[in-house]
Amino acid sequence: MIKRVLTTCPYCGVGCGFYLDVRDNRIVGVIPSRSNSVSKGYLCVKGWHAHEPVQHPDRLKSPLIKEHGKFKAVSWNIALDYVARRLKEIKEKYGPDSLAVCASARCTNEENFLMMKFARAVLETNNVDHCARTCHAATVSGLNQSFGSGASTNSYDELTQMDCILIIGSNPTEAHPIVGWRVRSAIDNGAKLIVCDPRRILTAESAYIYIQQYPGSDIALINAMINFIVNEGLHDKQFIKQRTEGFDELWQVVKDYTPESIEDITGVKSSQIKQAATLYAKSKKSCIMYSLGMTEHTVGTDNVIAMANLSLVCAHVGKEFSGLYPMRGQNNVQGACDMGALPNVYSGYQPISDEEVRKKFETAWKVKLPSQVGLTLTDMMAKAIEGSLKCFYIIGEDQVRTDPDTHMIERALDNLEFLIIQEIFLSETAKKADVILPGASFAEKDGTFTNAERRFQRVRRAIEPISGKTDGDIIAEISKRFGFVMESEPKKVCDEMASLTPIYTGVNFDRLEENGLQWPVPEKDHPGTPVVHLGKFKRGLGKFIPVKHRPPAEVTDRDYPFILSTGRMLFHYNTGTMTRRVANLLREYPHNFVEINTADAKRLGIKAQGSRVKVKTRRGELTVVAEVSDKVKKGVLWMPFHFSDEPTNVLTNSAFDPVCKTGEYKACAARVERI
Amino acid sequence: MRLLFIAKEDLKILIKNLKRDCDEFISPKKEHLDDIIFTDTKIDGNELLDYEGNSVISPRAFLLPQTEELFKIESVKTCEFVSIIDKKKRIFFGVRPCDIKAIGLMNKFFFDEFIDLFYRERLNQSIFIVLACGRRCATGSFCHLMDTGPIARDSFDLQLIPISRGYLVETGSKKGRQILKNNIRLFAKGTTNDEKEMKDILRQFRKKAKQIDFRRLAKIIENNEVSESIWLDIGLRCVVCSGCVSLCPTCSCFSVVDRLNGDTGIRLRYCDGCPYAGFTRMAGGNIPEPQHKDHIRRFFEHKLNIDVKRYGVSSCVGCARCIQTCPGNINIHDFIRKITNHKSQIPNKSQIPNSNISNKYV
Amino acid sequence: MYNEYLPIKAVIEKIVDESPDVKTFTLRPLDKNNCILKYKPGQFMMLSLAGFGEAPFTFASAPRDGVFEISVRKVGSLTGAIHKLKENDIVGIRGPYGNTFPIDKIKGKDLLFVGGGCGMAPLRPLIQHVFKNRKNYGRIEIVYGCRSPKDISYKDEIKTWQANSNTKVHLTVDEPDEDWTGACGVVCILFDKINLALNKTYVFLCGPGIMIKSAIKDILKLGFKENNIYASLERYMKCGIGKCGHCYIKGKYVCLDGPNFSYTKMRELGIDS
Repeated sequence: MIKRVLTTCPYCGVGCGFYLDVRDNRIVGVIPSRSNSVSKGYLCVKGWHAHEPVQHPDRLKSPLIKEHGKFKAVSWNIALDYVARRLKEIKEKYGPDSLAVCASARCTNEENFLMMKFARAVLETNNVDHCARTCHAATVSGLNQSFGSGASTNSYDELTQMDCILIIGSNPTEAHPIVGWRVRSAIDNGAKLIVCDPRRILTAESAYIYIQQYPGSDIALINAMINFIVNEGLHDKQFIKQRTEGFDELWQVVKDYTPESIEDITGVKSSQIKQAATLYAKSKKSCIMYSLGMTEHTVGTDNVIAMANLSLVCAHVGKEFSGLYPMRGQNNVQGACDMGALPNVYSGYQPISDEEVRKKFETAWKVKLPSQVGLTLTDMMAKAIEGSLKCFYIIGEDQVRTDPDTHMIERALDNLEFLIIQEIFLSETAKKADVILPGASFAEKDGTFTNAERRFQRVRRAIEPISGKTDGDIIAEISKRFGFVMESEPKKVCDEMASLTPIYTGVNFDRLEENGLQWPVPEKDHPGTPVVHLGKFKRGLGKFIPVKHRPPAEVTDRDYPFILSTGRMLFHYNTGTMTRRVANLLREYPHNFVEINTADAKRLGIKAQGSRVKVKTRRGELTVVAEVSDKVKKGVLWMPFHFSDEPTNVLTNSAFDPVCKTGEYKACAARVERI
Repeated sequence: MRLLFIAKEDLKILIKNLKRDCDEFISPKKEHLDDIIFTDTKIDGNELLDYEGNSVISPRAFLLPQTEELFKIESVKTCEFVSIIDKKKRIFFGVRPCDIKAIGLMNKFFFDEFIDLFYRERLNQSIFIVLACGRRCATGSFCHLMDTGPIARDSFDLQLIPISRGYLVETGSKKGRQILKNNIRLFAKGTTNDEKEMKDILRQFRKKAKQIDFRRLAKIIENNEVSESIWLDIGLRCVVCSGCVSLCPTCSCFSVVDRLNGDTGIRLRYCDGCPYAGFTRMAGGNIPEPQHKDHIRRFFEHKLNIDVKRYGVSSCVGCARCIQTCPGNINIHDFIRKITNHKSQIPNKSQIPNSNISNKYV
Repeated sequence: MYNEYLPIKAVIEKIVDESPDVKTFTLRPLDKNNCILKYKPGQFMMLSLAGFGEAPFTFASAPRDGVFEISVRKVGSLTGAIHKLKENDIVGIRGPYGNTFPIDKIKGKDLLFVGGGCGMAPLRPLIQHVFKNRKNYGRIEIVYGCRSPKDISYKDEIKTWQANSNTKVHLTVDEPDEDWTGACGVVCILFDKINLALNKTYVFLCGPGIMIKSAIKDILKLGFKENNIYASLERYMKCGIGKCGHCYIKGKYVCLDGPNFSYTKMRELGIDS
């Protein structure tokens, strides 16, 4: 029996559409959908192999309970009863805020909605968060302040028509390849690229201007561009007057950032900055694309604000063919934020502090809801170490490998009384669990994902859940054991969500059938919103917020003379639990490595490509293979973080942005030793 | 010999009869919006009798699937392998001439010297009914340059050539003649008018299209006359998505991997290909051709030079699937035109979906 | 309905530790009539270990009553797993595949064998064959280079080779230890010691790609004939029968057209430099 199931890719935030090729209940391949408006028949190497991990024999198939340090397979009933009993006990003993829930950017919108509902209505805590904390929380907090909405301002399809694309801290051809295709097409159509990245990434090879700044010097770089633009009179005075506020305050700060003055901080020649600023300002259709290279800093929020300032100065936002493109890293990290899997908001960014909003949810769910803002993921870990957080229920996340400073995270999880992990493979975090609940992969469930251009898209079930239950089912069943009955059928959950969330009012499965919908969708028959802030910003006027350069929390010194930056590569995805189970992806990059500049390698006596070196930071050390090239500049190291047996995050710094609490993955001090 | 004729209504009866004798009736079907994809329509009956363009996947996806189980590993300890032979009888309906040409080439490859049993068993159980193209498909394909369309020459069992009042029918094998014999009442003799119409279609199709001189093309590549800048550009464009080698109807490279579950498991074969660095990397880490551009160069050289030497024709059949799926906008059609300075009419941009396909080397 | 991909069972009869990372396995196919036992020097077979996959290994011994040997260097996950096997364990094998050395052509000729590291294994069946029929050949010289003295394989057998008349074995290592009294450096440094008739000598090489390239260059300089030089090449392979595409070089498949190529052929394929 052949079945073709159209669904959405489970990897990055681009949201490509493909068919799963199902024959006799085995998924044998992937067929791209040319009619899908996001991917148009294109896929990257991960997408082409998205089927491989689904029916891998390593999948967790039955619930596991840890007894005397060893996992024992148990029935669903036993596991769920046990989980519910322990949750109740801890809640009663220590109060609801001793519990925390981590939702999942890998799960569907509907499941995230259920998860945040479960936390708030059943556990009675706002301690719910997810991995956006470690990636684009800065985007939400930054763009919200500047524009009044924390998501991408424009749509993918505009990219191919741009005159100038400023790519900063983002590696589209590797991390978001089908947006990378649009960048490629833009170049082919004559667009000029400005690439600012500490690494000489593939797009840099085709860039009109390539700027190789030091990690952690982005605000200086952008402020200098604004400085030059204003001094040259290239700013849009009319736009600034009509649609923005706070320009004078901005100028008070930015006026000191001349391109010449920041050469040392950024390691970039002023002439290059001027050239880039001129090109960005003068091009008719200019946009900025950025990603975790900007957000994963202690100044992540300020980085985002700086870019918003730049776009406002030139009037390259609030209209078609312009704007800011935050490239989201996970299939549904946008959606998990949208669904309110955050400690301070319900779905659609409705603040829990707003009494009217809270009342609306209380009426709908017929419970009393907690009003105090919950803990962020970062704070949860701190509270676990401190001892006030007792129990953590984590769905589809592998903090032990993804969060900065692994040893600290391990301490936090070890300190818990009870840890529930819902996973599809036995991850490093799952090994620490008291109970493992086997979840379902994207191919086993119905629902929706929301991509980086705010597009709700359908996910469709191709095979029955391997463990027997979807993640939504599991949450609903635990909830039932608390006496709170939740609707868990995805279509109905979506309807419930839409009914409670003004900006998603027009979202329902039937309307998503064709090619999804881009939010805001404020009315039942609203066609969706490809471009936000048209004519007027969500907050009214676009706000200039002056931001200053601050060095990373940890700077280089004699003992640790290198800046270590980390990131993602084409062939792997996050901790590699899925991609390392795809034969070709694993073969392409089976091991971790560190990129080091040729001159540095020579100085340290690191002979050839492929020799092993020890990378050390104040938090840990790791022995990996050295990749010697000029991809990074002198004094900079770069490592991917996909290899759970050689985990890069033992090295990274958990210092975080004070506003959004995102850790500083992109810059810490390190040293390299030859072995 | 005069061709036979079948009316559309009779074709429907023929299909109904054919479905009785097969396990899977593989034909083009409209999936989401405009997506046309080969699938089994034996039960739902939604096969397209006439359709524009071509299926996203070629019939190769059934003869050499993206992943297939080769062996059941019954015991790891005692190395017990049991072959898994696909015995399903398949009738492929609506196959395009370019794709049947590809199957012909694949057969030569898989039966050369050593025989690939898994492929042969599937092929032996298959019947191919070609649906010739009434006109050039609007998806940027260039079969007219590669001499693979609009009408197939060989490798089919039955060929249907659409004309205004139905289809002309041509048999190409014993299996095809058997189908005819079993359903003789459904067929009539074609008229001179029918054949004139067919010839007009052909003439229209080939208008202004000058077929590529394969030998010359092969020689240009063989003699390294392709400018290095073209290869460099291609190397920078390719982001190793593997889409080209996954969709190409004549790509046949594969890898094998074992998936174990305790002491038992399966040995899988899966689609692999030259874009990957790991495709040729040896156990010690050495890659014979370490530069990325040379991996893609191999794809081009194999199809446009090596196979011309081996089979007399290019194994690029002009289906354009690799062009339509390449996130680097690499375009083999443009490449061929560029290096042969071929002056022919190219489809204009508006005919190509996602019309941003412009290229540095045009 | 013969399935070329189906591995047959073979039992490990003996395991010899040749060096810290090389082991030689003696395999006995359970089906003693299987065609794999009809292999000729230079050919290879595919070895399967369920769960770890399949990889090519050249036969490392001349054909003899129902068994053959392979030498395996530990480099990856499959070879790592093979090293963990014990006597009487069962593995999957299939073959023989690939071409053979030109055995008929070399009768009555002088022979030079150049092996580097694990590259001695593919030459060994031919060397064994030649010594078994010693009178059929002229002078024989063997040059064998390794990283260090402990990496030299077939140590005892080399002594028996040396004992033959009109035969010379030269050894060299890159990193000598205290007891080493022989030559130091790459194999090429031994070439000026070679005393063979330039016109009637056949040369056989196997080793790392880089060694083959430089050795051939020096051998040509000495005046040996291009067409009499053969190298056994290593490539990544998945099928061994010309289908999987991994070992393709310009339209040729190392598994079908090789693994043994004359230097003339190598030049045609552009793998000489």
